[in-house]
Amino acid sequence: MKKPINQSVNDLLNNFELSDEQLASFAQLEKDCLQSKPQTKQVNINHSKMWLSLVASFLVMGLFMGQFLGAGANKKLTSDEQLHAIAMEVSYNHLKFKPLEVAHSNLSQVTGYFNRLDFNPLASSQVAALSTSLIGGRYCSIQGNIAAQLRMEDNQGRISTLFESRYQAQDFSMLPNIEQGQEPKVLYVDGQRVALWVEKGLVMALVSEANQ
Amino acid sequence: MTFLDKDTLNQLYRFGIALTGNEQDSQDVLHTAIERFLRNKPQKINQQAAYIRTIMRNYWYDELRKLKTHRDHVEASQFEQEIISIHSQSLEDIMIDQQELQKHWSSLQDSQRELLYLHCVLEYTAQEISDELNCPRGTVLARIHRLKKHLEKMAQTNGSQGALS
Repeated sequence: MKKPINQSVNDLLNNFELSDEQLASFAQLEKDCLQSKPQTKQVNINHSKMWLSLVASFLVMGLFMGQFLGAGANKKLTSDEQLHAIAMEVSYNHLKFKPLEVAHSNLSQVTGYFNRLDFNPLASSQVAALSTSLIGGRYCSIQGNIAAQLRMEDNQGRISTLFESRYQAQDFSMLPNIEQGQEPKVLYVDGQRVALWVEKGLVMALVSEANQ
Repeated sequence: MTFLDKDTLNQLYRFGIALTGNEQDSQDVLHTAIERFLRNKPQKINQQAAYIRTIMRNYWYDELRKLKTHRDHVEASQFEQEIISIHSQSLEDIMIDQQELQKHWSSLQDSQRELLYLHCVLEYTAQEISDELNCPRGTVLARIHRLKKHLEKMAQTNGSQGALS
């Protein structure tokens, strides 16, 4: 039903509420912060720090202006740069190891959790080769697009993460489509192996140990 | 919690969802903002929630910059340097189905979702938004104009006849 946008935005956001557990964690945070001692020693060095910050700010501003006035100010990212940006992002998310929102070894149980996605996360043909078992998943994003991350573990306890997102041509057109006989693009970032490809209309990124 | 009641916390959490686009990041951002607020214990703060929103916003954009995934936002900001002559812009005449909004929610830029929150939930005027974001009112009006166009375009691309009017 169509409603004024103010009402739709309110209705949408009112679906979200902190759980009792989350509220308790904020109460604990407040308690911890209030109990911790104030950092009095820092006050004495703040003056010199302030001058250093000021000098550093001018230097950074100078560098920024130099770059901005240069030719590359409005440069669009090349395909390689876009690939690298995606690889950096998924590698960061993999290494950050945020808590799972759903923990289950059954794919349909895990994918059933992702009811806010506009696509269905799928098993990938590329993951089978790793002999891993699913341990759970959570929401994340790739280049600003909502995504699912599925965490897996092999029999040696090594963790790999499969990221899946809806294919958006403006963000992911540079990725190989394995259904057209193309091979996944493999990059190494932060000591991780990152494979990127498009499969069944989804963007997939698999991050695993470089020697896995 | 003694210094922020449950309602305020939930409002900040929803602001976080508008800013980041998802619940987990919202919780992380809110957690960090409250921690920073409590550790710094700023004096003479009348609008605690607004102050915490600012910490949340700054932290989130800093994180995005670190991740180098701030490209869209930066590109959008570059457009904002253009002079756009808009005297009055409002989103109030837009009608949208909640399902439709939910579908496109994650494809909106962080700054667009934040604008929707400030405009639709807090019912801030363009001037109040410009005060909170510390940017000129003209920029806010330009953003509203672009957001309106964007919402209309999304509806057209989706082929959903009459989702927006």
